This record gives sequence, C-alpha cells and structure tokens, in this order.
Amino acid sequence: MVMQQSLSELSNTQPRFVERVDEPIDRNEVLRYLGYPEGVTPNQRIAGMLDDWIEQASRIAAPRAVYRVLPVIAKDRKSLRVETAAGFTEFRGAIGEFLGSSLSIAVFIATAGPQVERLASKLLREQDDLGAMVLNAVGAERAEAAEAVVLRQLREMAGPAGMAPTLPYSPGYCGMKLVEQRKLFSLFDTQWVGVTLTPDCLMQPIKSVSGLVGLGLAADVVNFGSPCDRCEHHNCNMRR
Amino acid sequence: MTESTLDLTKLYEAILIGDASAAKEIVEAAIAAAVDPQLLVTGQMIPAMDEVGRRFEAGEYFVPELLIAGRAMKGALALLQPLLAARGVEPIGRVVIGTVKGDMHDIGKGLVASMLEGAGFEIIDLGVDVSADKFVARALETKADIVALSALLTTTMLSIKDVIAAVRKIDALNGCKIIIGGAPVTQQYADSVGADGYSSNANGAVTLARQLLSA
Repeated sequence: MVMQQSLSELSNTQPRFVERVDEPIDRNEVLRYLGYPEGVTPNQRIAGMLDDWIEQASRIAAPRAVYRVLPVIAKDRKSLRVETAAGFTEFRGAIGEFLGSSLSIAVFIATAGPQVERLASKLLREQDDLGAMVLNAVGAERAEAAEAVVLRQLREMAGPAGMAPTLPYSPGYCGMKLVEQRKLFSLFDTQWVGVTLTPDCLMQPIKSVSGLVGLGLAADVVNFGSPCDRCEHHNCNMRR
Repeated sequence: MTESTLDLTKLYEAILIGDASAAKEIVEAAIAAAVDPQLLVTGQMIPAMDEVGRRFEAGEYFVPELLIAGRAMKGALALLQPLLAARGVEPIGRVVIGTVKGDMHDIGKGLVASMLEGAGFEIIDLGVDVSADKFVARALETKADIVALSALLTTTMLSIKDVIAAVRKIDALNGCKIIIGGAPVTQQYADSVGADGYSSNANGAVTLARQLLSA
C-alpha cells in the first residue's frame, strides 16, 4: 500500500511547493561560508557581530522551493528527455549520463528569498562589507536548506517504492551548459517561488539553487562519478 | 594633546583588532596635534595591515577579521587623504576592479577592493557584470596600473580571457598589469589566459599587487 502510494506520488507531475524551512539557520555552516575551518570559533567581539547579523537575517529570510517529478521518456549519454504536459523537454549535456539510471527526474528551484540579498546589497553600498558577507553566507545557507527539504521529500517518496534519488545536477555544472536553465525554468510558473533568470541565465535572487535529481530503482541508482569528470576546465579550482 | 603625549601605537592596535571608532579617534587627535600624516600611515597603519595579512596567512585571522581591520584602515585613511594629497603624496597604485560580464557576484571582489584600498591603492570599482569594453575604457581614463578581474562561476570565468585580450590590444595599456581571482580560478588558468597574476584570497591580492608594481 505504501509502495503504491509512493509510486503514485512520484508519477504525479504537478508542481509541489516547499513553503517554509523549519530548520533554524545552521550557524556552523554560516561560519564555514565565512572561511572558518571546522572547530574554529571567532573571538567574542566578532562572534557578537556575526550573531547580530545572523539574527537579523533569520527574520527576513524566506526560504522556499518548488519542484516537479517528470517521467524520463528517452535518454542517451548526452541528452535526457522528460515528459511534460505540453509534450517533452530535452536537457542536453552530460546530464544524460550522470542521471542515466533514472526513471523519473525531479526538477527544482530553491531560494533564500529576496530580502536577504537586498539587505546585503544595501550594506555593501554602505561599505559594511562584513554585514554584507554574513548576509550572503546566510542566504547561501537558507537556499541550500530549502533544497535540502526538496531532497528529503524526494527520499521519503522514493524510499518506500524501493527507489532512491541521485545527487542533484545543475545547469552550469561541467558538461551541462548554463543555457539549459531556460528549459528548467520553462517547466514552472516561477512567480510563486520568486526566482527569475537574467539574460545570461543567472538566477535572481542570486542566493537560489536550481537543478535536476534523478529517481531510479535504489539498486540501479549509481552516482556516475563527479560532474567534474566530464569537464574540460582541468585548471578549475572547484574541481573535485 | 601634543604629539609627544599621543601613543600612536594605539592606532596600530586599533587597526589590528578592527576597532574603527578607536582608529578614527586616534587619527583625529593626531591631526589636531599636527602629527605628520605620512608617519601615521607608514609607521602604524600599513604595518598593522601587514600584521593582519600575516595572521591571515598563518590561519590566526579569517575573512571577517580581515574585513573589520580593512574597514578601520579605510576610515582612518579617509581622514588623512586630504592631508596626504595636499603634500603631493600619490597612492601606491591605481586599480580598476570589477566582476566580469555575466557574473553578478559582488562580495569577493568587494573584499579584494577593500583590502587593496586599505593597503594604499586607489580603487576604481566598476561593480558587477562588467564588459571588456568598460574595463578598457576605465583603465585608459584613469591610467590604471592594474586591472583586477573577478569571476565566481566556471561559466563566467571564461569572460576573463575576453577582458585580457581587449586590454592587451591597447598600446596605451602596455604597462597595465592584469590580476585575476575568484572561486573557480587557479594559477594554471591565470597562466593559460595570460594574466600577470592570480591570488586565491584578498590578502594575497594585496601582496601580488605590490609585487607587480615593484617589479
């Protein structure tokens, strides 16, 4: 019964909404974004400043996400086609190989909301670099927290059906051009989530995350290495 | 208060711990006591920022400590700049800085700009999403010694190459050095696109800029 319900949820292609993130801001994660190694804490004076900014950011952050699960109808090493109400959408690039074991694909957009970024920009204009940097770190943490809720919900839906999600893969990752963002965004009415694309395909608010997660039989879901394995930028600092 | 009763080492301490208010107060008192502004800069402020840099490299300071020290330095320097200019003291170099076309990330670039300014460079900050033409135009207009390029994404770091090509085409910018940085950028990438230098962090960018201008 549970398996049937999960499968039915997974085959429902309607958008699903994550309206809020209940988990509080992970201070350690913010410190990591600010460059503090694990286990190192700032001195009392800096810690006081950071906590003030984190407190302010927590009041204005509005993390949310939207996602859809779409059946895969065709795939090869360099493309992956999903079924949509209007027909199909074909994503190009190494995504085909990376998510190749997937029966369905969850596409998602998650964001920290616009206010954190607005305040960060204001602080930067006022030359409060530290405040701006802390706000940006909190923005990154909140956007990823919203993404984490999407991934958790996917795991909860997929698990009882004997399925599992892959790692997320985002347009702009090596082997998948950033312009693929346009296809991903075309799958949503983005007004609710409040994220838009610039002409250069960057998301606004900047503190947003988009991507695709494969869903396949747990035994078949294999992470086909790192996206970096498919990248031609061998001199990239982010290479893993 | 006279020069002899002022403890100028407190200026060093104030900048080192990033106490902007204290640094400002001490500089104001020093100006009132007719202390040589150059003495404040070279004797206390730059050594304090050098120590901040040393502590950062040693893993004793992190980005927030750099930022508040830079802010204290900038605040103190702003009070002294009119006096230094009146004496004909020039900045140690002029840097045109920006995040390349297609990239909206401001923070890392802002941190580098802040640290360079704190080290005595004049900064012309072009902001984010800056075209190659704009970098060239402002570098020519300001007679820049250095063009500093930032990119945070693997997709936008490719624009660095376009800016370098555009700058290298202009004879009047022959002596202008180009430094690059940003999360995906490496020394190898800098070498491959013909940049004059690369730094992985704001403090390193200051050292690099100084080295390039003293070479």
